[in-house]
Amino acid sequence: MDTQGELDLRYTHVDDAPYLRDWLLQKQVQRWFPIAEDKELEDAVQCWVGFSKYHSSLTATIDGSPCGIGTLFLMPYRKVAHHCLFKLVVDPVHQQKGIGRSLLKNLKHLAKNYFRLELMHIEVFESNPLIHLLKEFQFEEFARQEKYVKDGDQYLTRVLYQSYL
Amino acid sequence: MPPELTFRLARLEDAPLLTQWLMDPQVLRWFPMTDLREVEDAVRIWVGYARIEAGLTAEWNGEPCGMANLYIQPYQKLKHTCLFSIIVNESMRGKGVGGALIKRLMQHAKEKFQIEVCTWRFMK
Repeated sequence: MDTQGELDLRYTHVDDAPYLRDWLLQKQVQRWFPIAEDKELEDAVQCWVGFSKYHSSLTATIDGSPCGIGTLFLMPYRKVAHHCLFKLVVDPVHQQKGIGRSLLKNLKHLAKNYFRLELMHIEVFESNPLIHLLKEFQFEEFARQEKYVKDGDQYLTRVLYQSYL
Repeated sequence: MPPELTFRLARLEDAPLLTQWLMDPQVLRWFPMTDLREVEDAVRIWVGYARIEAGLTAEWNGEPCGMANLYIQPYQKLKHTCLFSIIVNESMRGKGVGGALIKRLMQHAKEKFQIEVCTWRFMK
């Protein structure tokens, strides 16, 4: 761990929404998400933080201040409730300090031991720097869809990774 | 296309029929829902797209016999792609309804929503 303050993890609160909004607004973060407009950002933040009511979201803090969020998007139907999509974001100011690693490790633990999930998956855009971390945590690519994202005239491929718990 | 077959935009009032079709165990096995509560939730989402004219209902001699829907993406960067779903009433299968419905839906996707890629997910 290479943080300058004290890193801690707790369950996400609805009050964390402004931090998430702020991180997602930053260009270097937003490029890895489909969000392009204010309304899209607001909808995404509300949906994301909404999972806090199920205790399926973790917030990393440094000296009590939020610096990253990882969330299990639990499935609403029984037949598919043994797996889930997850999302993870770290404040750009605090990237490369092991926060994403800590969040992912604890998310996997939460998924397996509390929610009894069997499988976690994530979709990322190609070249997302998170990919190296996913591989470190035994996530394997299981699907890719070319031209999934269209940003102006540019297309991006989405890649789906999964890990059995 | 059989002359008895016509298409119209889906309406919110199509929900009970869709629920009825989905609740058939032979149909439900191909969907992720398990019981009425989950089916009603899925139907609410499916039929909700009627508000933006993203769903089609097939009729055979004026009676609904199938439905298909485009799950239009809420994000600008993803609006050129969409998932779709389709269902044909069990008693109306084998008459070319599904094929014609997909064809009409793809045309609708392209012309109304400028969709470039349509995706269908299914269970093996």
